[in-house]
Amino acid sequence: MTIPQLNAERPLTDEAVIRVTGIQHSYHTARGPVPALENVDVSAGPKRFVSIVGPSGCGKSTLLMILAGLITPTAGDRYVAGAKVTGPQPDKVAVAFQDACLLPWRSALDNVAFPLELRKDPRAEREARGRELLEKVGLAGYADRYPRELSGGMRQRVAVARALIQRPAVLLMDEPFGALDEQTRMDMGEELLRLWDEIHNTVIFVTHNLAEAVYLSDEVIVMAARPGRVVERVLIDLPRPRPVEITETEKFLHLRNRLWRLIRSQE
Amino acid sequence: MTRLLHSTRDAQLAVGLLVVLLATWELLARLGVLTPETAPAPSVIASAGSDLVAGGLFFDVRITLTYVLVAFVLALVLGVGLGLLLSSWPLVAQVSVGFLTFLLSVPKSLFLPLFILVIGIGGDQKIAFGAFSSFAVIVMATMVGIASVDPNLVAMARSQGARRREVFSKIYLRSMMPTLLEAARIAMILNITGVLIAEMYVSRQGLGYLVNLYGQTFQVAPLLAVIAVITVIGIALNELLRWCERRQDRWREGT
Ligand SMILES: Nc1ncnc2c1ncn2[C@@H]1O[C@H](COP(=O)(O)OP(=O)(O)O)[C@@H](O)[C@H]1O
Ligand SMILES: [Mg+2]
Repeated sequence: MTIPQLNAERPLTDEAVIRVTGIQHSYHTARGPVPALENVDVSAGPKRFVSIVGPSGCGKSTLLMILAGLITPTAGDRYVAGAKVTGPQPDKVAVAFQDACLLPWRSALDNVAFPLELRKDPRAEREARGRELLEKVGLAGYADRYPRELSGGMRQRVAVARALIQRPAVLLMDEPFGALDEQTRMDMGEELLRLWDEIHNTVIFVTHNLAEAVYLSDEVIVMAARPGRVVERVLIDLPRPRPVEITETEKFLHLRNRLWRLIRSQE
Repeated sequence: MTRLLHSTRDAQLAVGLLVVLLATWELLARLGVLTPETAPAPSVIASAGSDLVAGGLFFDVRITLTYVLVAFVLALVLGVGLGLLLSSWPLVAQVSVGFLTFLLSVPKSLFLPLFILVIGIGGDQKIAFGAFSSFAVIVMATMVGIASVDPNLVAMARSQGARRREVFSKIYLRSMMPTLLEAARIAMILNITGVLIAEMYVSRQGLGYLVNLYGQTFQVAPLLAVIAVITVIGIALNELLRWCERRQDRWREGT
């Protein structure tokens, strides 16, 4: 496949909202360079929900940080949300990190409104939108609570609300529900789909839970480690909306098993 | 709520204990158990104190307090500044932590003659020595504080559009605040000690000078009165900084 020539000013002419090609990345450490990604190509169209799965250490987080503009790759081209990435793009790209990453000295509301504060929006507007988003994630009564007063699931909801307040065209999520118990994880997944139905942006969702990946996604990218690379791209052609019962269907299990075999075969 | 009750009850207990102690002391002095030359009664100390106030004690209080506060601000600004600078290079940070540990453990008063040789015996020398006494503590606390900032919070803020200055003020400084305020409290005590020692060593004014003067002329009552004033100032400054700590620490408490 050939990739059209693009420049920083011109938006993407084709369908892709995300296109990274030939991504190579090594971390520089005291003990020399640590290779993390080797020749990775990833693309995602508008309003697509794409998951990335793979063993730990295969470079999923690194890839996400590269998409977010937080890490500059050693080599490769990045186009995200219509522009060549040179740094963070807070008005287009939002990130939800693994362990919620809330500021412990701020209330839930002030955490959610933090991106608007950085944008210097007026206080009244920040608070109104913050409350609106807290309500959206089911935390209407918790605006004044500090993170330590919230459960793990609630903290993660705050983090999701904070990402959504940026109205991102691209939402990057790094194992957002990884630290939650199985039941809460399922609930959160269901709720994320409900929210996504409204917003309908492009989501890149890193997880190591294969059932979660199948349940949420339009496609799943399978990565392998040493070196970190993409091995396969699996289309998830399950109908939407997806009730939780879909996880018991034959097709669902078939897709899940296929991912499992793909990952197993790389070890 | 229970915390608050606890602290007021503690305060009441402390005041009660002090009253009992002073009353016992007064009684023993009046009964002639204590020698008036070395342990004058609290009432005698109090009247010596009021004589001192009439004789212009507040002039000396103002001088010493000014030196202490200027030294504090100086040590804080320079200490945090240097701490930030040293932390920018991992190798430099590693080497300087060793050096700072040495500076923390060596008695500062050894350097007093050097300060007099270099700066002289004026107010600037008192300030410089006061600041020097707490400088290492603040540099060290800054470096420890920086090392403890969660890099994920920094990445999060950057992804949301925080510029360098905002990352510094809203993430770094805020994360470091508990460590810095605690260091500031210790620094204040060291500043007071430093200024007083410098005043006791060579000077014609200030509370340290008065301590030295009454000590050398065997005037125990005014000596103890001055010490009482210094103690009150020390406690007041300490409580002020503790109040700041509690204020910014409110998110830790909660339900
Ligand atoms: N800051 C870093 N410094 C050095 N090596 C790193 C750093 N972050 C990640 N790595 C290494 O890069 C590789 C990929 O890590 P990561 O992207 O975190 O993988 P994953 O998220 O899939 O578990 C791993 O070998 C990891 O040890
Ligand atoms: Mg990871």
